[in-house]
Amino acid sequence: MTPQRVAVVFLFSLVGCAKVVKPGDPVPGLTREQRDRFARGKVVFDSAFTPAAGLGPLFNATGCGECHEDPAAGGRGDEIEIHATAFHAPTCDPLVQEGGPVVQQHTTPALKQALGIDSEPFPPSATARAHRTSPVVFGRGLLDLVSDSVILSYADPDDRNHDGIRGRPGRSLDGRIGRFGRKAFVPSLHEFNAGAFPTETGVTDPEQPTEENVGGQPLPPGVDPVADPEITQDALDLADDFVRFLGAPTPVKLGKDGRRGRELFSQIGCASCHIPTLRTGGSPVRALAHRDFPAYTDLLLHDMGPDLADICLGVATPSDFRTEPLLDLRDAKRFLHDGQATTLEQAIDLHGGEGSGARDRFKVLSAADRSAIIAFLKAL
Amino acid sequence: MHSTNRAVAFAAILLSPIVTHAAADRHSQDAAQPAASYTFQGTVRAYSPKTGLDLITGVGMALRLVHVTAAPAAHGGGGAAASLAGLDLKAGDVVRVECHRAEEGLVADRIERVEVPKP
Repeated sequence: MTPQRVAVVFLFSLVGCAKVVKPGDPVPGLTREQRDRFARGKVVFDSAFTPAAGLGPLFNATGCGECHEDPAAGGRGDEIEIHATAFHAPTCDPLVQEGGPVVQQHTTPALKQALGIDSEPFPPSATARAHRTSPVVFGRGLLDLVSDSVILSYADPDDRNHDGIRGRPGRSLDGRIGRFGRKAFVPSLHEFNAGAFPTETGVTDPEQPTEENVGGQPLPPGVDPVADPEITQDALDLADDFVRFLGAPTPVKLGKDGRRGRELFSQIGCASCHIPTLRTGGSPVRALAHRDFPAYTDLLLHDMGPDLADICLGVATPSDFRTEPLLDLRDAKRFLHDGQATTLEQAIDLHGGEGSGARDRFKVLSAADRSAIIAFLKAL
Repeated sequence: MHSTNRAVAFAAILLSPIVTHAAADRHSQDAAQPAASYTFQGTVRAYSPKTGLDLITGVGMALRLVHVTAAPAAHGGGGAAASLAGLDLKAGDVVRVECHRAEEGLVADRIERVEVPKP
């Protein structure tokens, strides 16, 4: 065998050995210490808190794993959250003075006894209510490392290329580019996770050691006996590492239909916002640094039309949504930010605004071509 | 076991003056130090030169409201109140606030607007 042939065989064997990431798997190439933190972080992620351990007094779930569980830890859940804000154009009020944008659906027995409420009161100044599903958090450590410059390279707020798509970045309260949340409001994964403990479980942590008020009123005395912060920095960092190290699932090998669907996905314009592959920047975690990964998002906000509009948040108007990363669609049973679509066809049909061009092109495809696109999406 | 207990007790007797002294030192340092300063960066919810600034800040989706006032002695004069009065702030503006904690709450020392690129 010639050296050239040996090299070709070697390269093919490398491709064949590329590690397949299943939903819930860590990114390949972690060190032993990082794999250990992934495993220990999963324990924190899967913990169910009790009031004696800091749960509540307002909460949506007893732990991260209650809502991010299907098909594996870090997956999606069937819970629907309620969010609310007030939009007085051009300003968005996240209603912090009335309890904030997340309206918790449960109370601890002590809070119920003190105030007689089963959930946080809906903020009276809200101008809109939104339903939110719990998405998969796979691949979020990779999305976290997509640089601002990459995100901005896809932005086209003035539609200079006249394709009807005007992506623009979301912004946090302090003006940084957002990546996380359906309104691209949160700039970094660590902040998202540090905020999620107190917001979703009522468990304060060292980075947000203050409990949320109840509809703007201070907590009644005695309903929250655990001293803040209610989890340690170590526990928070472990849970953060678990989420950070969750890989982006490798798309299932495509058949002929799927391959045709992948081509059509780009041809009809879906890939203008659902960018198939993104690249991470530098990171101390080698397994995450400078990687191409299947993302199917541009992390930008797009106006999705009046029919999908709900709440504002940050710079996102009610009809602006961040392009959803299309990860682990193979396991999804409900689609869109609020779970209103039960099939992928419905989800596409509900795209309005900047998504209406691709939607209309999808609708005029032959039945076979539409099926091919669905076959492709179901492989993600 | 007895000898271990004796050793621990002996060490405690020897170390206690050092620990007490260190604690006393820390107390005197605390008293001598100026009030701790805080920096917040967030979005203005409401602003009035007289009543101060309501700033929305937070971590991720866990948002909190921070109220910052001007120092009473400085109203209409220089210092912190001047920096409040001189600003044309409106809801939605992004600002960075340096402040210190006083009896009446957080008192602004410096407020600066943060320019956020459009879009």
